[in-house]
Amino acid sequence: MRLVSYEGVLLCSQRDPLKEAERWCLDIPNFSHIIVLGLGAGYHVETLAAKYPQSHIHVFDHRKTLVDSFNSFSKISNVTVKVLDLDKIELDSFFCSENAYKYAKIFYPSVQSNYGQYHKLQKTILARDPLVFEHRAKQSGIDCLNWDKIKKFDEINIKAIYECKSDATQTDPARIIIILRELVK
Amino acid sequence: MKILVISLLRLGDAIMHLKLIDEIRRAHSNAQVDMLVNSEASHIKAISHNIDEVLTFPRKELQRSLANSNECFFNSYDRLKTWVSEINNRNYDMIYDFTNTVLSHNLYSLLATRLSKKDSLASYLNTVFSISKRTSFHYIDAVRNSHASTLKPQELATAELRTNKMISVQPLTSDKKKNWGIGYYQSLIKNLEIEFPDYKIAILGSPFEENVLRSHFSESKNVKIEVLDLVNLEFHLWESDLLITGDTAVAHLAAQCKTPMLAIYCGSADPYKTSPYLKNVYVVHSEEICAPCGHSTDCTQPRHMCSESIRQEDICFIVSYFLKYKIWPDKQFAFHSYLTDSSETKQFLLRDIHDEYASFKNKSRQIYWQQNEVSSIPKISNKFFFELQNTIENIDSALNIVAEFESELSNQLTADSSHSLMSKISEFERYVDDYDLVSLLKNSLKLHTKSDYFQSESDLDLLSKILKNKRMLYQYYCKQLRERGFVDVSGSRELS
Repeated sequence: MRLVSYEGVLLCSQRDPLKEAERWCLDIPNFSHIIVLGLGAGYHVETLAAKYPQSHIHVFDHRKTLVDSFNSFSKISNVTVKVLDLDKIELDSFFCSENAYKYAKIFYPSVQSNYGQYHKLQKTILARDPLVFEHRAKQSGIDCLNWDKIKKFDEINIKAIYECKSDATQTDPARIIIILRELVK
Repeated sequence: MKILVISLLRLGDAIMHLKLIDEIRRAHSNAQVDMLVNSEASHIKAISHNIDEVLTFPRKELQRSLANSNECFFNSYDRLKTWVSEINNRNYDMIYDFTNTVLSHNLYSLLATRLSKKDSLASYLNTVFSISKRTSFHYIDAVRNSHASTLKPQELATAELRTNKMISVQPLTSDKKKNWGIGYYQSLIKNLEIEFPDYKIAILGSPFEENVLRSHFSESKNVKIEVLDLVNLEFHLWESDLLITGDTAVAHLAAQCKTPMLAIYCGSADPYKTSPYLKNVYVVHSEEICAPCGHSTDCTQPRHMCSESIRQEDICFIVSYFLKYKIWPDKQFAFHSYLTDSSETKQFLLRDIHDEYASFKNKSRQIYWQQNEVSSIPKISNKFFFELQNTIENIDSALNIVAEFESELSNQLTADSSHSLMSKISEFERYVDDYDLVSLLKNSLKLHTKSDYFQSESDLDLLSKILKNKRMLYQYYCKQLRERGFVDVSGSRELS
């Protein structure tokens, strides 16, 4: 028996959770590692695991009861579900690994009461946080940015990156940044 | 030798670039010539024998990734970096960049080659051609000239006259503003169906245009909607007697197939830059003061004046005339009409039919006067003589306005002086009933407000030269008439 609500919060659609899961999975590209923030009733995780059987799906949720319940009945091999301590989010080895940076999507229905914290976590995972971005950019050899300027941004996107590009640099990373900016103009 | 050609614009531009690829092949007959295109042009190899391999730039994938709020920026960054290194691993000896955008310029710099192929005119392409400025070069000539050390112009092909009884119509373009209007095309097709019952009419469109076409056009015995891939479209165009189109990829493909064309250029379509690269194509262009505007931007006018000024009846007349007599009419319309041609230096040339028509009329009149006795000129009346004198006076007044215009433009423009210049344009219009010349004056103001002093001055200079020539011609007519016994307007003598 699956829980559809927990402590007064609906974990998924009451009418048609499968259709909701399918819609949620629709725009997710095929990555080798996909991070899902929010377990809910788990329908979306199962749908995603079936859509990309070759991918590793890492699910995080702060409610231990839900995680234990899901793990007790689910036997999907490409899914790992872990408990997340929202008060003590740290960049552990998983979140620092290169795989973690690629794709992270929040399952809104199940995390609505803690959305702010999940969003912050997503920002960190996707290197949209200025500090994390700087760390990751230096790893990638991007040396053409004004780091003081970039720290002033709340959230990093291509527009912000382009604005922080040093004008004089004609390096390959600078050229790649210019091309990417041109693509979304 | 391995050569890569970067062609990262729309499908129509890539098709135009095939002409230059033929020239590269001529210059390097044993080379491997690959073409780098956007995914929408990935089928281009099917219509060119001179391309060895088509490489696709992952534009859409990168755009999707950058726009996805759940994806990390480094996905796109790493993806592009990997893609660049894959291209570099192919070890190209030479790269031609035919695109001339910020994107292609940076990509060109990222791709390592032993020889780079860009001449001095490349900067002209980047600074002048890519923005909405008037240029005397066709896009293909401008690109070729920027690689002039290796690419040599060939004689421009001429449209072939055909008798297959097939008319093709491409009503939609990539930009809403470039469309002449579905309603006009509907009436045109209905008229053609009645006037030419033995002709088949094909309404062309791409798969994503099919629904729009089916909702606006109905098929009949002679009218069919054809949604074709590039290869079949090329076959179809080889069979067509005439293509009626806007500034589209189909027009440029038809130029490769030497299909006779009536090209209707509205909005952002600039006939000087992107007319079909073929001789004897009839190009229609409404030269509103704001045209040609930028691609994919909103129209600044309350109505789509570009298309409204090109009347459906006139287009119908041009098409009927061509289908009946296999030549284009030299009639004057309320819009610009051009014939494509080539210069002595094998560069593309757009000839204004109005000018040719006017000079033809003047020339034939001169010959007539020189060859005939006074008594055999029956149609010249005192009214005509009066009009001639009046025209000369009007030209003098118009020349004064041009001089005043020049002196006003030499100062800094203020709101008052702008207003005064606008009123001078209206005054000029009263004296000169010539759309081209009024446009020239308007254009000089438009250019001046864009801080292009050089261009605005040269426009005014050209304008006064044309007016002075006209005055000389009319004075010559007056002199001829006087010599033949017609002396005085007030005398009201008519030549018998």
